[in-house]
Amino acid sequence: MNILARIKRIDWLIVISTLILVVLGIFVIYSAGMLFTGELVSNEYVKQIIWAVIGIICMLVVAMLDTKTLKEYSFWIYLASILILIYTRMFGKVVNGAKSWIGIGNFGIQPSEFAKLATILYLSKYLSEFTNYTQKLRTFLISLAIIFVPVLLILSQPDLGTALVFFPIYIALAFVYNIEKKYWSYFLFILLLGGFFTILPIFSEKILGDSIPFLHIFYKTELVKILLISLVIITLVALSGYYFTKRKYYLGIVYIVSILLFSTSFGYLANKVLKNYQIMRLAVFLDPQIDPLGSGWNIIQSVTAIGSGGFLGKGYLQGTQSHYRYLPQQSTDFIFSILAEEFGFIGCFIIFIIFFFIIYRILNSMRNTNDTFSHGILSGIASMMLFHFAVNVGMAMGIMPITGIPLLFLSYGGSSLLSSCIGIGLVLSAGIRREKL
Amino acid sequence: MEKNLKRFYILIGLIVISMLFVLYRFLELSLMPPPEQKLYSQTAAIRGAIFDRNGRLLAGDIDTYDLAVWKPSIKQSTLQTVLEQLAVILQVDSKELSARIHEKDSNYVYIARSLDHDVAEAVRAYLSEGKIQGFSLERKSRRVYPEGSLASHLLGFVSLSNEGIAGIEASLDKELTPGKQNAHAGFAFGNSVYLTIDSTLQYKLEKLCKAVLLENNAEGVMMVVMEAKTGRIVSYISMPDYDPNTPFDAPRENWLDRVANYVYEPGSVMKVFTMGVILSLGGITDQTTFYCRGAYEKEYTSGEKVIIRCSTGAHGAVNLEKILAFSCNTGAALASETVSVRDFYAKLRAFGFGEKTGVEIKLEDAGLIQPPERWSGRTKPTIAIGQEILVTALQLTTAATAVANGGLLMRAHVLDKIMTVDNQLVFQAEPTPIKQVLTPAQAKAILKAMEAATLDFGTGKRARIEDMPIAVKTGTAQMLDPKTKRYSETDFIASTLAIFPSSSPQYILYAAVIKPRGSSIFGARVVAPVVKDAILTIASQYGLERASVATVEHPDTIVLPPAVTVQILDTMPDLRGVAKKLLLPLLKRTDIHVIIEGNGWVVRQEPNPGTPVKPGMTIRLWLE
Repeated sequence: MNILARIKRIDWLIVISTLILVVLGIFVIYSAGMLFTGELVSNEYVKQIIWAVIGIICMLVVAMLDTKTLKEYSFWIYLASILILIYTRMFGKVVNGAKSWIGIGNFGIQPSEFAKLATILYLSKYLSEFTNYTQKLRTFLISLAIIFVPVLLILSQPDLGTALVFFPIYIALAFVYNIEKKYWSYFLFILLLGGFFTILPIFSEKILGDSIPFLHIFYKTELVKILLISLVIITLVALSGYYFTKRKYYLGIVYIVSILLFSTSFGYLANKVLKNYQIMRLAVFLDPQIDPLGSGWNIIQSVTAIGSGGFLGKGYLQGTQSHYRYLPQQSTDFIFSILAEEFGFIGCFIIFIIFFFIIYRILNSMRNTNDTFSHGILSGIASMMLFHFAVNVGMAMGIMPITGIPLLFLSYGGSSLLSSCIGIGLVLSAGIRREKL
Repeated sequence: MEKNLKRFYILIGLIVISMLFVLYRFLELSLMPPPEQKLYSQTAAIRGAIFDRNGRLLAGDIDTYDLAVWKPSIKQSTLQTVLEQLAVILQVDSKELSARIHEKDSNYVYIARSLDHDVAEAVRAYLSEGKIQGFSLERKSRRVYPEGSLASHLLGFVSLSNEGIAGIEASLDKELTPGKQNAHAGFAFGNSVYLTIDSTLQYKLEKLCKAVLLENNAEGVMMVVMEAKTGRIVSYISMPDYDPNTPFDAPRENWLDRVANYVYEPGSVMKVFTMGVILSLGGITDQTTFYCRGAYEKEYTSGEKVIIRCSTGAHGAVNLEKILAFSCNTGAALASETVSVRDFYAKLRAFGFGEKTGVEIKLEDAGLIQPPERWSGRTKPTIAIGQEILVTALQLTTAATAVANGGLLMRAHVLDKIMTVDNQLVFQAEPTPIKQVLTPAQAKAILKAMEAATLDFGTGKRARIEDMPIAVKTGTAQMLDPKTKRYSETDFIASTLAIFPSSSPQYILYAAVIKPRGSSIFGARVVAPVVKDAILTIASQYGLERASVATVEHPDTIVLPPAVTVQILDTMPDLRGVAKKLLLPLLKRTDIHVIIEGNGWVVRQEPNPGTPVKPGMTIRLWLE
């Protein structure tokens, strides 16, 4: 297929929607850089324009690549991204407390953003080639390992938010590639419950005011020990029950009890490893008032900004929360708050529609192609976009933990913009193959 | 394909549901009424000032500044040099500043607090010249009481966040607190409060009271001076006191306002009012005579027995005048037999006992008289001599307005007026008559009897002032020992009530010493001499008519001091308003260099007042 034919088949609706988001993002970043005096204190918008141009070129170039070629090289791409992550971990620059940058001077990238795409590519290749239905467990474990290598490297930076994005990607691929439901849901439960037990101490002490002493058994060291020991014993007893009687419901008990066992230990260990303020950030959305000047500040200010935007918004460049600089990270993590303050519900609703239109188009291309590798790319990127959107917007509205992940296309940040443009490029490329088959 | 399609729809469905949830929350937020704009540091809240009756400042806010850092806006590359510069201005170690920035995870941290205006200006100049971002000065206010412990119990004090906690600061907190509606151009002012006290007199009398406290090693001293005709309180003293600038440094017991919050059995001073009650009820006249054998004894049908003694022996035949002059307990007890319990109780209440006086101090105590149902046989004669009834010093003083004022009871006031910051009158307290509780003749009879107490045979003779007629009643009240529930053998409250000049009463003065431990415990000995000194002080300050002193000479009325030349010692004085003539000797100084520009009076000076003066310094003064 020649280039011209490929260009014809590009889903231009996705391209246009993406462009609208990127341009809008630049306008909002401009507003974020302005003081209430009208003085412009940041040139972030100029940098963003440069990145946007680079990003859109990359998007179109990647769209021209054949998915076959991508599939062939996916392992090497994955390997390269892992090596770069290791390099970053060792020699990277510390930005906002995380060793997540490499680059020269002020010009740098965040390899973790690109590792997401590399992982989607390689995981799609691995799972699409997996035909051996007799080794379901093995496939599950290997696929899990594929995501855990980058996840652990990114967690060690530490950058919890970006690491978390890998899980919805994994769940989407597991769903699409038909990995045994009980396997990945086991993993999902441990993850969700583990997160719950991580914030439980703060939730119980600060928000409930220690009113339910029962919860102590999940986080007070001496009680947790007893809980864990008894869970281990129950698991062992159930396992031996299965060993001797071969009755399936013993396995059911093991399944449930071990989920509890792993998630409790997960939460307990997380509380030992993470600093108190880090957990506070995750828990504070439940009640920002427990730390109004610290972690709760962002949420309170952001919610205030959204609320003061109202239905129609205050108008472009008219927001006060942002121009008085009440909003921290207003051009990156909390860009949605400015958007909401200046453009109101109506403006944001349009953004919603554009986002979901893109996601819908991506999933739609999935329906039109039989190439299983493409299925992986499409669902993985759709899932990534959705997760970023839901968590970022949810964070700005105070219904999600503060994890610091950007709003794709809109937030300021070269790596994020570039990697999401390349992601769209991959989507376009995967979509092009559709009629060939 | 069929199966994949199903999965596709499940996926879309899940996404739609989760997004509907986000959208719902979004609608909720954006349709909710916009939150009140918080002004945070933009508005400086300035609590209203408190003045005395002459407009002398007793409490006011001064500006201080906190230096805050908004971390996301600071430039890391220049941070170190900025901090070093700031450290020089703030005279601290730059390491300390940088430690403060990093010690908290929060993005907004304070690196210096309570900076003076001059330092803050220097910081501001530096920050704006260098266009340095991320630093801001927040204007804060701190309450200061320039007169220190003066009238501390009346003024009260504020919390660290400038909320009134005690005294007038608490009682009139609503007025003093800057309201949001008054916020204007970055400032919000509370209303100013003018009190009825006279801080000059207050100062002099506090000195007397403090001396009494120390001499007698007493637990406490209280003194109230009130204008007889208006009920306005001129002096309000409770000892020991505290400095409201640093209330937390003082022991907590010093916080007790012994004028409004200390309840006690008043003892014989109360006879002024109990005899007034009996007189007004018609039980006795000023001619009625009782016979004092040295004790009042009675046995009731219930088997209860009461013995009330006179401490100085039998007084023989006593009438109203002698009961008060000798402080004859027997006579007072016998007199109480002439009226019914219910009438006696009702009339005491009419004098204001057992209820708050209604003065502008919210937390004042009401004292206590048991309702008549709970009285035993001995209650009436016991109250007649001032026991079994709990009062505050404020109540006693207020009740005395009835005696001083021809029988008209006045409401006590400490509040003169409330003004806005731009001197608009908000509220003016007017003298408030409550009730005519005695006829003028009855009031006069009581006054005459109290006057008799200053004669040689009376208990108040030590308060006597040869050239001014005064009316006095002393008392030595027994105190209940909380441990034994009996009257203590050692603890007393010695007190004296004075109304003067008795020919035409203008002032009421009440003073009490709690648990004097000196050479004497008796009101007549401990308090009466102080009362005399206090009356002399008041008389000279306000120029009361006295036979031997020419009233035109008020030693304390303001006479402009002779023009003294200005001196500059170790710190720079405030020279603004000083005339040029007075500055001239400064030019002769060799250790400092003084430059005077212009003619007239000093309008501007450099350095500012309070700056330490060093040899070789140049001082510039601009005159107009």
